[in-house]
Amino acid sequence: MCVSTGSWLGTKTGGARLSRRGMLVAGGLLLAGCGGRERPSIESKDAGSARDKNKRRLREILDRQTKAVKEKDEKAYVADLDSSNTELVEHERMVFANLCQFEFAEFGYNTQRAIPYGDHTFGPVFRITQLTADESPVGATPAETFRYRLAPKDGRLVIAEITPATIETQNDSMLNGPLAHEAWNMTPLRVVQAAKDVWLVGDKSVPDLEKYASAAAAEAANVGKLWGGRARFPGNVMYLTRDDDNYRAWFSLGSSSTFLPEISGFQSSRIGVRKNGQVYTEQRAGAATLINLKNIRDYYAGEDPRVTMHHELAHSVTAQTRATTSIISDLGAPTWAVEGFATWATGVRWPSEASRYRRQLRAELGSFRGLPSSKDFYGAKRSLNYLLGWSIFAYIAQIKGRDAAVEFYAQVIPLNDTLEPFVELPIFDGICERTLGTSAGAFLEGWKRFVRRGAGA
Amino acid sequence: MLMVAAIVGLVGALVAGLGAYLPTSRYQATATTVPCRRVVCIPVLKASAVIDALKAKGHPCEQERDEYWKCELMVGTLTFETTIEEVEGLISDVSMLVVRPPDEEPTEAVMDYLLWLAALPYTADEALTEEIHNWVVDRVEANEDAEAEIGGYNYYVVTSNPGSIRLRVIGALR
Repeated sequence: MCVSTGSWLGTKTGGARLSRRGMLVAGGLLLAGCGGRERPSIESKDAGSARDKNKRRLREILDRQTKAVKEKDEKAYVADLDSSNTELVEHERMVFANLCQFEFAEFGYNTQRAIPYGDHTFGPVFRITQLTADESPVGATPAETFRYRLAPKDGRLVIAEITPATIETQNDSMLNGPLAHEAWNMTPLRVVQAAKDVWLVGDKSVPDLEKYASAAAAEAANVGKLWGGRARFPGNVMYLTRDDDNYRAWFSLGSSSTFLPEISGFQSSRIGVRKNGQVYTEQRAGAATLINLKNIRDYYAGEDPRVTMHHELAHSVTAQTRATTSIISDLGAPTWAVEGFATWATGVRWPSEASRYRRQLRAELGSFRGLPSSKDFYGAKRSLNYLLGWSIFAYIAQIKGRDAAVEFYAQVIPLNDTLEPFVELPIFDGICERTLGTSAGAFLEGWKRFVRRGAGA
Repeated sequence: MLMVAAIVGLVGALVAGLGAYLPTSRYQATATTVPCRRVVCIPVLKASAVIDALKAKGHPCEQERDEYWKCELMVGTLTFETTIEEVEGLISDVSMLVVRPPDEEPTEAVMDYLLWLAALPYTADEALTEEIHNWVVDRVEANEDAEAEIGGYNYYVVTSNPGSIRLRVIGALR
């Protein structure tokens, strides 16, 4: 019996009103459907199709590789690779040798979001690499995204191809996730533990990696002390190289809009994936610093990387608190605060550095209106922008003390910068009242006077 | 442990009763598919009605792109995710994913959620709904991936990812 669709929609659906168009379509169907329609039945298809079986096989391989990394068993790690593909096997042996030197809190593969393409290709597969140096209060573990292709070989399926997610593959839904751009995918590495919570990682251009261990440990401790008990990652991982190509390739640095080959160091962030396969971008899941010792040599006498180490550590130690770029804002935390704080921290550590910043600011000041926007911070005026950022913290330290400067920074960086001036937002006024005991207007006026009068002694 | 029980209880409250949103009475076995572009859709039932029903139960829904919706609710260790492909206002492809701790049996709330979706094209046909329910429950209990054609729809149950169950109903190609 055919019943009108009107009554089917009933009263409980609320939002569902039958449109004229819906009525026409449904009406047509009713007419067509009224004669002897067969009742649908369940026709099971071959349960466990080839595709499903293959995916289970991939899962089995990945579980075996996970175990192999944990047990440092190279033979087991390469056992399921296509042995005739020398390039693949050699590359995976390098990755394995690299991975085995790191200390993981969690290692494995997450296939929650993996979808098939044909019967043999699956992605995105997330490789979970949470170091003991990483931490996430929401269970997001640092991950890299890959696509796997299996192929039959001697009567079983083996891994024939592993494709990493890169900036070029961003629109590929099978590679949708954190980029696979950790240095361990690209270069043979050596890892040296410098302190309980500090690791140095170098390539073959840094045979003297051990030489930098005590400096790394000391600067990590110094920055840690400045930041105090605030939220932070439990450890510090610091990459060193003298190789310009590696410097460019690791962490996709060379593709970053702010990359300049002559810059001495960077901080990179690790993006996490939750157990359910959700890529979690609201907070960093880990951080690392990267220094090009060759650039240091060109800038500081004697290849002394301590100032750069300290600066990048000031970024990485505070990275867990810092706002990430999001749908709401692609700017992240205000750059004047991020770079200003790191610059100021090195000036606190070395008063001679602070004097240098002061001299340089006086020389470069010219016409000056206020804090630089995040949008073109790293543009032509970046040198002045760093110094203006520095001067904000130098000013707070002078009038309210060092702790107030750190607390001010800690309250600014969880917020995203805005296109309208951030310092005009009510929330910034609140931060000034809470941390400095003054209004934003009075604080900014005082800071401008401080800068015009030469930024302190 | 108490904490976990409380969270699961909450999910139960959020999910239970979803079925009530789709009136089941008085609809007889009329047409169960309607052509929409290259595929078939569930007749009459608007995608927006399902999205509204989910929203009313506390599932945040977002239109991720044209004709594609995602409703994701995370409570404690559980994730409920519905995605809906919409064609001309109707539903051509609807998928539900439940993620839970791998070593826990699916709770009643989890099964209610999945079964609600499983029955979407056939809410009026109680006998068929029950058959489909049994088919889904059997597959989940057996922890096996399965595929079936039911009327004009392809049903997929995927349990091979540890800790997750995915159920997908896609209107077949015309």
